[in-house]
Amino acid sequence: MSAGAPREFTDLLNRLEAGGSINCRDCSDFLMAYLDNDLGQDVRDRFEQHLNKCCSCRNYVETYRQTVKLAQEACCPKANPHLGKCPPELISAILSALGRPS
Amino acid sequence: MTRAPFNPASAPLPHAAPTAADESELLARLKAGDGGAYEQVVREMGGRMLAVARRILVDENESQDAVQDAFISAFRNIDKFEGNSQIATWLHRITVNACLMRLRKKRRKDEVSLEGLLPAFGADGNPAHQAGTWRRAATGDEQAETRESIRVAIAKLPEHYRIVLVLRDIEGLDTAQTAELLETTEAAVKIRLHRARQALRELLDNTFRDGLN
Ligand SMILES: [Zn+2]
Repeated sequence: MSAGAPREFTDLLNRLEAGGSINCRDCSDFLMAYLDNDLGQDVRDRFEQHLNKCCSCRNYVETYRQTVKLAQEACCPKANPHLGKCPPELISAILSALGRPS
Repeated sequence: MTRAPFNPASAPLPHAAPTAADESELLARLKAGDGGAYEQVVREMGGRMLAVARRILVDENESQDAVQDAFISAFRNIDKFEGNSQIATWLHRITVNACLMRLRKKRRKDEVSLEGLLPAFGADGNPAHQAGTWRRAATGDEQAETRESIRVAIAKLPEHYRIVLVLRDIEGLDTAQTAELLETTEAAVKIRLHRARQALRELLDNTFRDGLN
């Protein structure tokens, strides 16, 4: 297994069924499934039990959500109007390719 | 349908929304081959489409070429546009497609490793490093600088991962659309998106990590 290879959800289910509990690595691997509400109620409850007692994972979940939000804000055309500027040469090139020299 | 309490991307093209009447009038002019209407669309939307292309392709020349391809293809196929979405949304899709076509043509870079950018764990499942909290982003100039550094971090992600993050989280495509465009499965898209977000989080951790932690 290479670093970062995804683990199957069934691996987690099998371990939980065998009496194991959610650990920090599980939290990291299945975090998106948790946020997307894809875990199923039982695993979700256990996931949240881990979060309640693990500060590092709580921080990880929060900063992961912030990452997505920050990426969106950084690329949002309204918040960053300069990103929506088009070089005049490109406008001219497109118009002349369309048969409309500007 | 998947339930999505955490669905960040829904409105890829915030825009001073034209009224339906403006839209249909503009569309009629485009379909009639009105050169002024073409020019209006290029001037109004060229910049936004270029921003989309830059996020996907990073390279400036490639991005400009993709935008040019997209406008030409859009106007050439204007008869096929039925007006069931906004012109901006339709152009956005064509631009994304033009970018992906360019990526496919380029020889594939094999650099798909996120080595060092994913959280590491011991055999017991405990993290190698404790995650801390992040400070609030500042306002004003510092915020503009911060946003620039976030865009740079996104551009640093290996292409294989960056594309999925850009399409899903920024351009607002859903998992199925992204899978179709990238000719892969929805499960693969989800895995890549999660890895991409984790890697970006790692890249941003140095900038935002709270000193008090
Ligand atoms: Zn934990």
